[in-house]
Amino acid sequence: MHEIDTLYREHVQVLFAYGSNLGFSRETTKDVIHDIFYKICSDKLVLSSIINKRSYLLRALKNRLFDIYKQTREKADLPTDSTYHEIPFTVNVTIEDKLIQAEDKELILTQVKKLLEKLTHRQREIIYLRHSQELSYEEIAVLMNITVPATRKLYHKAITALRKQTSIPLLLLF
Amino acid sequence: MRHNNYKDFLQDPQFILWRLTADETLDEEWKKYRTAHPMLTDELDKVIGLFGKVKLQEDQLPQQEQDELLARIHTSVSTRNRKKQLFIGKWSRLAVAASILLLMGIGSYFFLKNPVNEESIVLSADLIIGENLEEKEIYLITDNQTSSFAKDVYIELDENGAAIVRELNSDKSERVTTATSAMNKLVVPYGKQSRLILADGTKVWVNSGSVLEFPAVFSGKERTVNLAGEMYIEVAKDESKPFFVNTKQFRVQVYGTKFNISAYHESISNSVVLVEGSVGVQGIATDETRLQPNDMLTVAAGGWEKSQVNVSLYTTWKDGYILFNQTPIDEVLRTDR
Repeated sequence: MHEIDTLYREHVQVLFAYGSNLGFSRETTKDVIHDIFYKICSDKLVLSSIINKRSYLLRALKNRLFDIYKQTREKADLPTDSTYHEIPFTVNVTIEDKLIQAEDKELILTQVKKLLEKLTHRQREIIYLRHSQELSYEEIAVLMNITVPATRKLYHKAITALRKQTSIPLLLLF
Repeated sequence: MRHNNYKDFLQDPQFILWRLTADETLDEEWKKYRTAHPMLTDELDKVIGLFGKVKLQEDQLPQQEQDELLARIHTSVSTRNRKKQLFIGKWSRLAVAASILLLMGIGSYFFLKNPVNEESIVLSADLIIGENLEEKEIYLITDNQTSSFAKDVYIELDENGAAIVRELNSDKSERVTTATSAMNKLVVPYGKQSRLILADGTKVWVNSGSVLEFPAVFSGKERTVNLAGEMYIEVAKDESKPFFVNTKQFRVQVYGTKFNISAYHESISNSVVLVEGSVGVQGIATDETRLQPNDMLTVAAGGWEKSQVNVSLYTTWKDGYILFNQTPIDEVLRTDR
């Protein structure tokens, strides 16, 4: 059982962050992480054949969280789409370097936050998955429950939308 | 917009966009930019470096919580692996998450041969154990609300029928308004268990894959609950109001006792095991069979059979003990009884 320790340490922060970004409480996210690793312990063969474990774990996390999300909505009599993009995605921006001047930090944070706010939840999620998790389009497609071409399209759409909104077209800079 | 130093880039949303999205088209454009502005190379590199420290994440899980969570996982796994060992975890310590699904399709209703003083208790026909139990949550269904809980729960009714539901291993608790004129339903899916204290003080342990229907208060001349599945019950003494448990195939009249009823719909044979006291079990077309402590009554298509048993084998599930040799707990919980 201590075999999962390495796996756990390697991925727990990412899993926790993703769950939080999807709007779930700390406790709920921790519970789901517990369930995922508990299940893995009971069937280690499953994971041994998987090359990209992080992607697998993220998917397991999202599946379970989505179930919870759906139930919460149903309880409150709210409609639920059966696709993942229903779950609101927010993200906190942090800068983990004490050497950067406060002023610069502020600047960056403000800009990035401004940019992210202009996106839809789905767009934000996909940028997060590409930027922070460096997942491939294939992996993101699975997580977001859309096809790979749709993923690429979504990604580029997000960028285009942002470019439009950040006023000056890049060409004018040259 | 002219860029002179790195700060200008930081204020340029286009730059931020580029670093955030790592888009190939933007890469190209910025490459061109770099070539066109060689004197800005240093500043550009500097700001790219700065930006590399930006993280898009929520708060991290602190080391201690991380360790605790891992320990929790270890505990769960070793608990499950202890097949022959007794599992530690008394019910009374469990503040089970309240998610009590209303008992679905509580067991059978039971017509007495002489229905003089009995009302026939009809369980909703559409309630079938297992069919609605797709989610892993426990549901408590009352008149006006359905509450669901992700963990095992402990429900306590006070003498007015108001319910407090506590979640296992947390201090989360919730007040639930129980239905006053109808039965409340607790649905416990596979993998979960629940414990209740009814309005009269009767204690019930509801096992996995079960549905229990119970009233907020026992207002009539009798106390009745309906069961589909398995429960262990310690009935509070009340000479003035006899206690009945209805299941699909039989009804149990309680004469002040502790006993276990196993009446899963999908099971071929049902059973009642008496620990203490005395009960009478009546089927649809049979006379009442009285049980003494340590008696087990098996109700099956072929007939009814009374035997003497070691009651602990049948009731330890409520304490978290499962005495099945060589069988992993989760298999046991999924077994057709």
